[in-house]
Amino acid sequence: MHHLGNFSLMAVVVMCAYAVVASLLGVRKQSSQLVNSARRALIAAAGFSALSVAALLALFLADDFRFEYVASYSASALPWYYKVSALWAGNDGSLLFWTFLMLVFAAACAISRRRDELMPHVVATLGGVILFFAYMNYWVCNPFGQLAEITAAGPIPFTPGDGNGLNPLLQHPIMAIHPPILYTGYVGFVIPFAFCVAALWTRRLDAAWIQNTRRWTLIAWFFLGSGILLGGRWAYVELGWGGYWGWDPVENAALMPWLTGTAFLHSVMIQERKGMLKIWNAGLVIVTYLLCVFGTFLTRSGIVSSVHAFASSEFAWRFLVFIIFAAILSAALLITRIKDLRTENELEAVVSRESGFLFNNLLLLAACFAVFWGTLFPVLSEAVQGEQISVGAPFFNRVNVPLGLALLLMTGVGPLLAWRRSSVDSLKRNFTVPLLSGVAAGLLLVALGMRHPYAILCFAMSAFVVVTIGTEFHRGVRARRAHRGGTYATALVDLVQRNTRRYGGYIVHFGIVLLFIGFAGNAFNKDVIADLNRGESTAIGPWKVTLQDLPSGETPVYNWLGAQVLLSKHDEPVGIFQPRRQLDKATGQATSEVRRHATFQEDIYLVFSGVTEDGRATVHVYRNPLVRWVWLGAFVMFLGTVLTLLPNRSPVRRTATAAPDGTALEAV
Amino acid sequence: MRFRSLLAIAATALLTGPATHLLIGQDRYNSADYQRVTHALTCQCGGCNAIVGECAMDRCPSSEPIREEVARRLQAGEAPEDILSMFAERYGLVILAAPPASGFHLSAWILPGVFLLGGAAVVFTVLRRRRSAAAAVPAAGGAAVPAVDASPEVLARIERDVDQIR
Ligand code: HEM
Repeated sequence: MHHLGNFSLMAVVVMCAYAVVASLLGVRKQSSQLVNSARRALIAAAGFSALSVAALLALFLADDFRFEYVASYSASALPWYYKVSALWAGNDGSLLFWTFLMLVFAAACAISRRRDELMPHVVATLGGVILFFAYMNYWVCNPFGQLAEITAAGPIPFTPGDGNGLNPLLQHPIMAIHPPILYTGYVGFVIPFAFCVAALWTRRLDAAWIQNTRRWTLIAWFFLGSGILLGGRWAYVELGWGGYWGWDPVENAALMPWLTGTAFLHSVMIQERKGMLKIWNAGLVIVTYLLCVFGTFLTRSGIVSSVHAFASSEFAWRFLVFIIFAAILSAALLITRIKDLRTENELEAVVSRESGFLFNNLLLLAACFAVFWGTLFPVLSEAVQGEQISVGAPFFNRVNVPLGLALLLMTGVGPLLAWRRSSVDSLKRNFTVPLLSGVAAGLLLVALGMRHPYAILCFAMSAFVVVTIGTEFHRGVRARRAHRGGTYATALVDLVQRNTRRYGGYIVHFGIVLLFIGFAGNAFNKDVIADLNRGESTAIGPWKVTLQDLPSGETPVYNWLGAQVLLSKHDEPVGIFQPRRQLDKATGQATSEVRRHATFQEDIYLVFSGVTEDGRATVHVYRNPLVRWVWLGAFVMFLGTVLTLLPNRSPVRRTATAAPDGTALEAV
Repeated sequence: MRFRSLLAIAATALLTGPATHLLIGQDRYNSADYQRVTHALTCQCGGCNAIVGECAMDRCPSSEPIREEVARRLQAGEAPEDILSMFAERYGLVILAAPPASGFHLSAWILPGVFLLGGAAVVFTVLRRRRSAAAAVPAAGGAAVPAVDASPEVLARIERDVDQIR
């Protein structure tokens, strides 16, 4: 089986190399045959890559512990689905999987956009990038290495007959889907990147490459965002520290390209509409992709120590060389094309949709920079000052919360600005009611006794943004009904179908508001730690937690000890919960199984931290307000993104229905 | 307008609703100072990088004693700032969850702001330059300015409508 895996990997290397050479040669010789064969080579590479993944998977499912990678991350007692997910539990396997996903995107694109005139250069770019990863997979971190060789080389703890097992923290359903989703986001940006490079290369610098890759970009962006949120969800339900976001370098690594990707989604609208910002957009997508690669580098190299970071390996510097090389090439490409990137249009006013997008970009990039700077600052500080320092949550919160609030405000303001220029009159008309609602919400909270300034601002702005979004929908519906009649609901559906991008975008914005409401809840988190005998209780606000029993048990994979507690609110029982501690048999690692009582008001989050020497149970109770709004916001963002991905209802029919009575302009 | 007011009221109520319960009951259990100090320190167990106040490790050999010491010192009346500097002296700066805002480390705090301000300056100059260029050459770059006799409001309205149709 490992021969198949190794052979397929080699084939991927060969196919990618061929794709680069053949497509460039094909362009030169104007041979569509060569170009096409390059394209097919890329598709074949995807097939071979799938084979290599399948081969590794087969080794996992067969418990073939001759192989170092399998022995390191699996054990025979593991259920089959965690054996599957053990595939990406370590460095080598996850890189194999990465390459595979990237090739899936590349092949799908090579098939669906085969007539695109940029295709030869896209294939060459994709082939070149993937060649690097395939090379790494075959020569530097090959997952098909056998354990015997390693034992001869050095003392590796080795249990014949069984593997080391999977880190118990990774034995969670979310961990079975979070990495693939996150990786899909990371690798997906290779498509807009390749199109951008191809457009620069061939000097076809109109908005075609942007329009043709919009869906790809959105899909990658969507997966990246979902991956991040799922990671947060996993941290929350599995790590047991009471939060979902710790500004860990690995989390930051994923957040950075998401921020620049979000900026890109918006700034392209200026190019599509006005032919402006060509350099900026090309630069943004290049930076986004490089940040994606940088993110995987950061995760694996161990350069910034972190909970998730895989152990450092000799491939770190190769990765760095690749990133620097790609950055230099892209920059050179951009610089030599600057003349061709002249804008076709001019900005007209400081208060306009265009400038709204500029400020949106500014804020997103500033946030990205702050994250980047904070993540790498310890490395810099150690190099310059020789002293280790930490840059953690307090830093990132202090710096990013104001930026986030400004972004939230702009999310409400931007869509209400007209293209080119907004008149004072329209500003008044559009902003009076939303602004008043925001101020009212803020004042109300202050009157009720809330004193946390950021939280008040956040809730007030949320009210503002929700009202702007609601107004936009309502106006559209009213206009449609004036023109075509029908009920409110049908007009709403009709409206959304006519411009899925806009209204989907607004729904995504609404999701962002919900996320921010959830984030603001953090300002009010409370927690208490108590050592309890049976029958004793601890309280947090109106909540009371009473220890009833300490049950224990065993499964094939772990032993567990539980703290059975009764949760009550204002002395009314709410339910019985059993947070646990588990001791993984294979790894000997102890983990917490958290239990939660979640409502839209707040989560009561129960952690059983262990037993004291005199036999009392240590229970850590967190009271986390509004956390559910984060998951709700994530879901709404999901809906909105799906909506923007849907095609608009045919424009032909639209003009046909609008034309006869000549009310096209008033129609919608 | 009636609908919008309703919407505004509904949204305001909806948003303040979930927020108001945050005000119920003040906790006596973990004082604000304790929370602040334990959240300004990082676990030194070597590897986890967790915030001391959040470290979830069972009887963590690093976080647990630190938490106890913080509680004890606060009870003894020490100021939070003194406790933090005491820890920084004992373990080095690495124990502080954020770099101090002084000396070389000040750059950690300042640069994001510099980036934002610099970026804002660029955006504003671009807007101003482009705008004056556009004013000097009215139809520059083929953006035909419509030669109609209409107020800016009407033009803006038309633009919006066209916008919606597209
Ligand atoms: C983190 C915050 C934000 C996220 C996640 C976000 C996300 C999105 C998404 C996914 C779309 C749809 C794009 C497409 O389908 O191609 C969109 C559209 C849009 N966004 Fe945002 N956005 C955010 C903040 C902002 C801000 C700050 C502004 C202010 C300028 C803004 C203005 C717009 C506008 C005007 C549209 C398009 C409406 C149309 O098609 O007419 N967004 N947004």
